[in-house]
Amino acid sequence: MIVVEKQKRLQKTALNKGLNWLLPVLCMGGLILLWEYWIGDSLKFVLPRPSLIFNQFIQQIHLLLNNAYITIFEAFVGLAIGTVIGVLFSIGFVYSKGFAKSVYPYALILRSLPLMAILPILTSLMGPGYTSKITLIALASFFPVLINMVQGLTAINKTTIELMQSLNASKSEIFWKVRLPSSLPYLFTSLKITGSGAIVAAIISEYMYAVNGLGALMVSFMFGSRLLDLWATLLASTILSLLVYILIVFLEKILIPWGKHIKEG
Amino acid sequence: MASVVLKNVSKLFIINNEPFQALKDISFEIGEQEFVSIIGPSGCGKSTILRLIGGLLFPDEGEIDVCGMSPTEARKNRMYSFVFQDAVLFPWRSVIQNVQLPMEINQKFDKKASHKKATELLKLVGLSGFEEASPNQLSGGMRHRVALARALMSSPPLIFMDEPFAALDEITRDRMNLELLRIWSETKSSIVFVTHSIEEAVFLSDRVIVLSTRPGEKVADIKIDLPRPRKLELKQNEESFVYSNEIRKLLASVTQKAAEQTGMNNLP
Amino acid sequence: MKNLNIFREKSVWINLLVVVVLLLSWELLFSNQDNLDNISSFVKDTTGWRPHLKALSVMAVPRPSKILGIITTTPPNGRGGWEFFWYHAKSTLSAAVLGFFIGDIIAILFAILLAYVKPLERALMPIFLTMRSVPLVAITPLLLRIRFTLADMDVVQTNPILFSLFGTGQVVKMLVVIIIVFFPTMVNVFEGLKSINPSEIELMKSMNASGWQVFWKLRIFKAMPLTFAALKIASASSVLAVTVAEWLGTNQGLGFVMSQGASASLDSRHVWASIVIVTIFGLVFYWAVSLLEKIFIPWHESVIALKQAMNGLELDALPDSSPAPQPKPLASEEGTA
Repeated sequence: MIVVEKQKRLQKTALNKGLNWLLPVLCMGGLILLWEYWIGDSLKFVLPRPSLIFNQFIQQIHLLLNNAYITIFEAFVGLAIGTVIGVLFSIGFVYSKGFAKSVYPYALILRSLPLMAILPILTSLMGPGYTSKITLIALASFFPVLINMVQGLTAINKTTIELMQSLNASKSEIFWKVRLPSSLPYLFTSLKITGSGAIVAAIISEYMYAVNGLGALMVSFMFGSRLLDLWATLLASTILSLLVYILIVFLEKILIPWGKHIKEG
Repeated sequence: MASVVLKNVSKLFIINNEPFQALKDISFEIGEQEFVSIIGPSGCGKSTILRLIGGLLFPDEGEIDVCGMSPTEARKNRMYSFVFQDAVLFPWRSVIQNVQLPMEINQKFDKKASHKKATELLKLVGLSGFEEASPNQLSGGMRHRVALARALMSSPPLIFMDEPFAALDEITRDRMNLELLRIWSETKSSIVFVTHSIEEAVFLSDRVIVLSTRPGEKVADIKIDLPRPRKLELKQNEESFVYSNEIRKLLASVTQKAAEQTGMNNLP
Repeated sequence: MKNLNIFREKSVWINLLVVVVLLLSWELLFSNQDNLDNISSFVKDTTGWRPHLKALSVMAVPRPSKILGIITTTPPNGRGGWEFFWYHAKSTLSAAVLGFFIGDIIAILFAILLAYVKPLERALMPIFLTMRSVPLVAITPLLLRIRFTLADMDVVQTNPILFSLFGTGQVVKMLVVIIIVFFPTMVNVFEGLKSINPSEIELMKSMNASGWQVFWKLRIFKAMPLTFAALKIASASSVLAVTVAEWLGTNQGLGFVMSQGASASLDSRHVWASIVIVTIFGLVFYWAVSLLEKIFIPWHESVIALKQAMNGLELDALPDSSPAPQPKPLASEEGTA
């Protein structure tokens, strides 16, 4: 008797799971349809119809791609440099307290400088080319990586280390076999922040000093009163950052199959 | 009059899309001012019983009567309070504010009276002077004393304790057991006590109910005929050994049976 | 009072000394173009690599005293001094702070709504989570474009209400802040409200607490740590968002001043002065939110960790295993038995 009732509930939960992705998709689709047919052309100087935006996106795809390459290039190189330096520094922090104590206050100051303030300085030092933008992105991604990696490298059970020591493992063996693998989830936590952060930093720096890249494209469309193109570029940058996010999640799944994925926060 | 009556209670859970019989056909009674322990292998549904009596879960079959009411009504009338394995103190409240929580939730909340009662209860559990401390500053045993004082706040006829001392070390646990008996003797409540520890169950209880696992069924209901007030020496006593051994044998046969069953199920 | 302890730390004095030395050497180095040329040729002679010191001319990087000068004294053309910078800073400040409050309040209300209405949560939460990882700052040019269009329209020009909304850039700046602040705050508050563990909710239920009481006595407190984490991020990003919007397309605010460094009327001194003011503003804003956090959630680990961080990084204090460092008990168990 009860088993039958519970079985019914079981089927319900299966349906529920399907609704988990169906509902948001329906909701989003409904909004877009409303926008397309209900708002329609009545607000076309603010909200052009989605079909027009999409059409424009397809037509301008070459221009958008060419500029997206530049933004991606800046973001990725900056992110890579910032991550590598952040990881190296975190290792230094964990193994030398003196190093940590002398560097950390300056890292804190660096973090509290707003991006908008650093870029004019960098630009006056390095010129308005790629170097200043990449440096900015590296600086922006350095700090979250540092903080998360220090946490990751130290977040090991004391007993695990004692076990390794009892097996007569050397310091470097403990590092490669215990500390580094167990810090990887923390690295990816920070990459999820810095990944989209790098795109943001790239776009902002292109707003300020650039002729190429999605940010620069948006500025020129803005001044050129090309609303449809502006919407299309916005769409492109959204897709781009989602792709970056998906890429990082994908890498995380491959590199950390044991899957102790840490919640962001 | 019995304060709790369970009649043929069954409960089914769905875990990983598989139905799982947590409790099957459980019946027992708990008298007034009685101390009853429920013991069984892990996963036998001990805690589920408490939640059924407390009206936090509902049985699929059977009837539960708490002080002559349904569990939900009993909850509304403050007939019982809960103590969990984790003390569950709110760090944003001082110790005394934590103890007063049940009163605050009550509609007619008399600030002065509740403060006075909380102070008395903290004295009863041996925490005088810690009223304004933060729970973060307390040790594990002290946190459980606060939880106990909070449970006594509404002077309930029933207290449900879900492995309350399981996370404490043995020495602290022994002392908490003595304290619990002392406090219980000063109140007029019945206690339903879920535990893993055979010695603890024998030492504390008037009766011990032994459960089996998969499905959770009542295997035995053993009356512990030891004199009160009980002292720690009792744990070394011949008579309590007899009780412990009896329960241990029962549990061993129960787990053996469960292991055979799952073992058979796992065979190709 | 406890905060004063940091000034007793040796490292604070060393850091202050380093900052002063840096400022002094900057001052001296940039007092004369020849100094830079000498360094440049020295580096080239020794390493063979010629640094970009041309860009780093006395004109491009003014001395600290010059920067201070342009903030404090008004030049004959009126482009500088307290009043000039206050006029622009006011615009930046008000947009950032108002946008911050409006955006966060809407976010908190939304989070509460979603935490209590299950169907809404399931329909909207995935969308919000996605929006959080989208570079929302990219919407700034679009909003500015819309404002330009609206400001040119006759309806807006003649209607005082519409004009006050779209005639100046102020509302658009606030709108950018609201959008940028909304999603991260909303997601964090939501997760905070949902972060109650089963035994806490069972305890409340066993005491027959109403949903209202569970909210006011439990959920709201559980949500606070994550909320403040979001607010701290939001305080920084609201300043960023406003300056970006000002840089791109308004004629008011510190971001606007920064963008005009190469124009006829303003020079690099104005740019650097604005940078200094924006940085100080950002720090004060962040510090104010952290102070609120300390007042509201003094019990929370993050506050305890912050106190430790103020005294320099203490790696010993970082958790060895996942649970947070437990403060020492007031008294041992033995003392109370």
